[in-house]
Amino acid sequence: MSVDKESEYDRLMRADRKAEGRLIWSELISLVFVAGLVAAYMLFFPA
Amino acid sequence: MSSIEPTDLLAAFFLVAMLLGMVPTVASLVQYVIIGWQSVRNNYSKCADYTPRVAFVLPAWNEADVIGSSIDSLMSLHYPEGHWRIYVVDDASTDDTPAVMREKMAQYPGSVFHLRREVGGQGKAHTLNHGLSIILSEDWAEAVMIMDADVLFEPVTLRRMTRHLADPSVGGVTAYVKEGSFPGNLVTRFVAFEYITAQAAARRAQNVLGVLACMAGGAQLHSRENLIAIGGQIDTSSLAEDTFTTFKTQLAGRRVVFDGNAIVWAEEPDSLAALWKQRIRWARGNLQLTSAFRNLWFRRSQHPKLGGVTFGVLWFSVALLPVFMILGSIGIIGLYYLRPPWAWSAFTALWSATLVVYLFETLFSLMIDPETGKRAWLEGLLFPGLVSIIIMLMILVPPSANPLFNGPYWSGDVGWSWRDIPVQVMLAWPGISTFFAWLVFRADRAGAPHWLRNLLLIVIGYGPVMCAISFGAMAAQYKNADLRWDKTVKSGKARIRK
Repeated sequence: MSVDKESEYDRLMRADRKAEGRLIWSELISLVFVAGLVAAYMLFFPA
Repeated sequence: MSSIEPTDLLAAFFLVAMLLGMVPTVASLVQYVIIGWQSVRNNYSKCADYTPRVAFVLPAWNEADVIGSSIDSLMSLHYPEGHWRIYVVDDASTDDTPAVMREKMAQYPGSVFHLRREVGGQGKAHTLNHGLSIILSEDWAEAVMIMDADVLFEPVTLRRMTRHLADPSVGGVTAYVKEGSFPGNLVTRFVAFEYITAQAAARRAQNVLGVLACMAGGAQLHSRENLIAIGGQIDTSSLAEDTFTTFKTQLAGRRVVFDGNAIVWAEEPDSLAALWKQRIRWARGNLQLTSAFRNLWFRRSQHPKLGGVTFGVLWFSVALLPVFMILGSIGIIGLYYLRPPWAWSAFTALWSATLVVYLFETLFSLMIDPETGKRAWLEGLLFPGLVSIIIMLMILVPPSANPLFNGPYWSGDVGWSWRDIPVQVMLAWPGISTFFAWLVFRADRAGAPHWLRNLLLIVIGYGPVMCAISFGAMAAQYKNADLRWDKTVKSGKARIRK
């Protein structure tokens, strides 16, 4: 199937850069969430 | 000055063994921590709108059930007209593969080719080499896609892969192979989640490190120059031809790239028996590679990235996974008898760290691939097995409220008694779960009902099954068992899930 090369390529690059850019935020959210759980546990059950 | 007693040395040995047991967890955490850097350190800045002529090579042996749909999916790619061809290398199939190929060649004249080997059975690498020798003898192909006959390409996957070859320093590109069995079952959903961790996560981390352990055999795009530079042939001496090709490409001075947004779909084993057969092959192949490149490990002079310490630790944390697990168990059991208070501290520290890493990696994995996460989130949570999850949760219970943590066992004041057994099973679980996982596999192979297989798999865990397979591969290598190419049977259950 022949497609408009230029527009398809630009669209892919934009979508993929955005997807990769989200990784850092996903990582930060995961880290903060787990750190919050640990902090909450230590708060309720101090050593 | 007090002298060092033999028991002190023994206690130190057990402590070191226990710490070695944490190597896979730490290595995995390191990979997950650096994934985020892929947001800023990726290969997209070096990409361009590059659409070389691509020859797809599909090794096929009795693939009549899947080859037609694979060709149809490939012929609907979004790629410039006439810039791709499909070469099916038929390894003397005895089913209807030739008939399906005649039909497809008539349907797509000039785009689909049937390369028939009259004498086959030598394995995938030999089959691939038959196709590569013909493709490289002609000038047409500017790039070659090595893939499996059952793999389904999303329409834009090829465009997503070829853009990286615009950078001449890149020799190979691999895609994210997703489990696509429809409707799927517990085993395939475990595999789906595993592929987030082993591909979408780990290979992105390796991109950041600038070195890749393996380009998936299901979707491996090479520049013509790269294939010629590594000899124009695939390694036939091992069971991990795709990993050998990946290493040879990098050793020849070219980079390899994983594009997590370039997605292909494959049908993966839906039983533990089939999974065992496939993964033993992979694990044995990796052991063969470990031996074949023995002069490479931890020697930067051999290769700045493959020979680096970080990559070496990552590689061996997977290749020697059962060794680390068993060492960890030996270490903590030894401490339990020799230095009970140390054992208690080590046990709580080890499992607390494991719990934190498990929560972080599982949550992050589900966010890396939300589509797979929606259908396999439960398998993601159950990945380590219910027993491990219970141990992790027990750590959260204050010792005063936990009978297992509140007995005389941890003080060393009493001798051994039968009451120690649950404590010791808990301590040694990372190692002995390998044995229990092997029993689950044996039960599945013996024809146990699926509900029982699933129940045991949930209790023992998919992670321990992977560990048991690695152990089985080591045993097979040690015994020098036959190197058979046990093909994984595919029945056409894969779908592109969009």
